[in-house]
Amino acid sequence: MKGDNDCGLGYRRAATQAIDHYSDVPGDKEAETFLLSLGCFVALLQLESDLLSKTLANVTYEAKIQRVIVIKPLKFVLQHGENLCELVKLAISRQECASVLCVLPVARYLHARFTQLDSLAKNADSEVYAKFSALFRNIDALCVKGLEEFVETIKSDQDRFVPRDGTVHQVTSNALSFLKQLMEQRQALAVVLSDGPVDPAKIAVAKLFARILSALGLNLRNKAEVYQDLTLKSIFMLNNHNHILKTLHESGVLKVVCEQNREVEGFYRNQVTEYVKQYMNCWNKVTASFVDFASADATAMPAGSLSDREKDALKSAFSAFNRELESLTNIQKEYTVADLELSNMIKHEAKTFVMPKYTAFYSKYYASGFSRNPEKYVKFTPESVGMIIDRLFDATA
Amino acid sequence: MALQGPPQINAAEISEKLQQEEERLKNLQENLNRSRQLKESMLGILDSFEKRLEHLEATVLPLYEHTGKMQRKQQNITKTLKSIDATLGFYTTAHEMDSIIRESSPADNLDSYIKQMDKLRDATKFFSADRSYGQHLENMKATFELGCHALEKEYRDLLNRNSMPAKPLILVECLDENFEVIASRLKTIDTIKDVDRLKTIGQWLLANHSNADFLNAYAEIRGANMLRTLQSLNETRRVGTIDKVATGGRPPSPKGDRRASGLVREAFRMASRAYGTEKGYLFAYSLKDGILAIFRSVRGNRA
Repeated sequence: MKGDNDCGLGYRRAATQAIDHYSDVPGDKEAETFLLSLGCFVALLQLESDLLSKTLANVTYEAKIQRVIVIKPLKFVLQHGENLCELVKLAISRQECASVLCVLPVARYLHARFTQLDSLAKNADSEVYAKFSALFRNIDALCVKGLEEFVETIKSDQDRFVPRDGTVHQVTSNALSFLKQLMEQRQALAVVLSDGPVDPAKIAVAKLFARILSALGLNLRNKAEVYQDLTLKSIFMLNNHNHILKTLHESGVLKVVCEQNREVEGFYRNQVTEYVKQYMNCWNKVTASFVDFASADATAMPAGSLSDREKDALKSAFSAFNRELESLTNIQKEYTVADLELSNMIKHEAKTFVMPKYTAFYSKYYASGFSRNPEKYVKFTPESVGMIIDRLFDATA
Repeated sequence: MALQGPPQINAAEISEKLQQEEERLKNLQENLNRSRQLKESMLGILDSFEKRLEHLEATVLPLYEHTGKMQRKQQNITKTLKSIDATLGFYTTAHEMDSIIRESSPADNLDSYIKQMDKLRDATKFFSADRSYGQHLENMKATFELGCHALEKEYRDLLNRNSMPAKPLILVECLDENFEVIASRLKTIDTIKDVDRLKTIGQWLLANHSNADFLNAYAEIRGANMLRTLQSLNETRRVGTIDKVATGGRPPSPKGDRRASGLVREAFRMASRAYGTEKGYLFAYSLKDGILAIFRSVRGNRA
C-alpha cells in the first residue's frame, strides 16, 4: 500500500490509506508543506532572536530588527497557506471533502500558535497582518465548510448503485474512514467547531459525528430501496449497520457520540436485530414446505401407518423442502457477509429456526414408509442442512 | 671633775666671737651684692636676645611667603606641561589615526582597528571642548565617520559572507510530530559563522555611532537568509526528498518503528556530519527505508 513506503504524516498516511479512492487528496502535500514551512519559520525565528540577543544585547533594537527580518519570510510562508486554501476550496467545491482532513492539522497549529504568530504579523507590516488574519479565518471557515459539505454529500448522494452481494457500501466505508480521521483529529476539530457557534467544543464534535451518522443512515435507507429482493436488502442493511457499529466502537467515535446521545448504540443494535428478523423471513418459505406436517413430537412414525394420500403429500413436502433450500442457497451463494461474527450470528439464528423443525419432521417421517426408497425424496439429513447453513456467505465454499 | 660655778666669760672671748659674727655678716653682704650684679647682667642678656628674635622674625617671614608662591607656580607649570603633552598626544594620534583609519581595513585586524577608533573618539571628545580647534575637529570627525563606514561595511560583508541557510533536512528534524520546535535540537543548527566578530562590530557601532542604519542591513540580510532557507525547504519538498525525512518518525507508525527510525536518523546525521555535505546525508537517507524494512521484518519474525 502507498502509505507504507511513503511514510506520510500521521493524518496523511491515514487519509491515503483508509480512503483508497481519495488516494491523492488535494491539498495533502500542500498542507504538509505549509505546516513544515510554518514550523521551520518559527524555528528559524528562534535562531534569529538568539543571534540578535547574542550579538547586539540591546532589547530595543532587537525587537525593531526582528520585525523587519520576518516580513519577507512570513509573507512567503503565508503565500503557501493561501495556495493551500485555494486548492482546498476548489477541492471542496468539487465535493472532495477529504481535503478537510489536511486542513485540520493546519487549523490546530494556527490556533495553538495564534498569539505568537498574530503579534509577529501585527508588528511586521499591515500587508502581512492582513494576510495572516485572512488566512487564519479562511482555514477555520474552510474546515467548517468542508465538514458541512461532507454531511451534505452523504445526505444528497443520488448514486443508485448498490452492491449485488449486499456487502458494505462504499459510502459507508468512506464515511466511516472519514469519521475515524476526524476522531484522530478531534482536538483540531474541537478548536475549529467551537470557534463558530456557541456549542462547547465537546458537544460540537459529538453533534457533527451524529449528523454524519444520521446522513449516512438516510443514505443507506435510500440505497436499500433499490434492492428488489427483500432478503438481499436485509443482508445489505445488516452488513452496513453492523460495520458501522463495529467501526464506531473500535475508533472510539461511539463514545464521543454517546456523550451527547446515549441511544445511538442501542439504535444500531436494534437495527441489527431488526434486520436479522427480516432476513429470517426467507427461511419461513423453506420451513413452510413441510408446515402441514410440523409437529413438536419427533417420535418416529411406525412404517405402514400412512395412507396413500399422506404418502404423496410427504413426498411433495420433502421435494418442496429440497427445492426451496437449494434455491435459497443458490441465491444466497452470491451474498457476502464479511464480518465473521455477524455471519455466525445469522447462521446461528437460521439454524435455531430451521433445524429443530426439520429434525422433528425428518425423524418422524423418514422411516415412516412413505416411499419404498426415501433417499429419492429426502436429499438432506438435519446434519447436512446444518452444514449447508454453515457454508452460507462463504465465498470459498 | 667637780661642779663648777657659772662659767666665767672673759671679754676676750666675747669680742672674738663678735668679730667672727661681723666677719660673717660682711661676707653675706658681699654675696648679696654679687648676686645683684649677676641679675643685672642676665637681664641685659635676655633683653638683647629678645631684640634679636624680633629682628629674625622680621627677616624670615617674607622669605617663607615667597617660597610658597614659588611652589604654586611650579605646580601650575607642571600641570600645564602635562596638558600640553596630552594635547600634543591627541594631535599626533589624530594624525596617526587619520592615516591608519584611511589606509587599513577592519577586515585585516579588527581589534586594533577598533582600538584606533576608540582613540580617535577620545581625541574628538577632547578637541570638541574648545572651539579654537574647529578645523582640526572637523577633519577628525570626518575620519571617524569614515572609520564607522568601514566598520559598517565590514559588518555587512561579514553578514553576507557568513550567513548560511540552515539545511532543510536538518531543520525539519528540529520539529516534532506536531510541527513544534524541539529546542534542544535547534541548538545544533548554525546559520552564521564567526559570531564574535559580528558581536564586536555591532556592539561598538551601537555604542559609538549615532546612526543605527547598519541594523537595516542586518535585518535585510538575515531576512533574506531566512527566506532562502524556507525556499530551499520548499524546493527540497517539491523534489520530494524531505517528505520521508520529515515524517520518518511520526505516528501512527508503531513505537518501536519510531525508535528504530530515530536511531537510524541519528546515525545518518552523524554520517552526514562526517561527510560534511548534505549530499552525503541524502545518500545515507535514501537507504533508510530499506534498513527500516529489515528492522520490521526482524521484529516480525521474532513475533
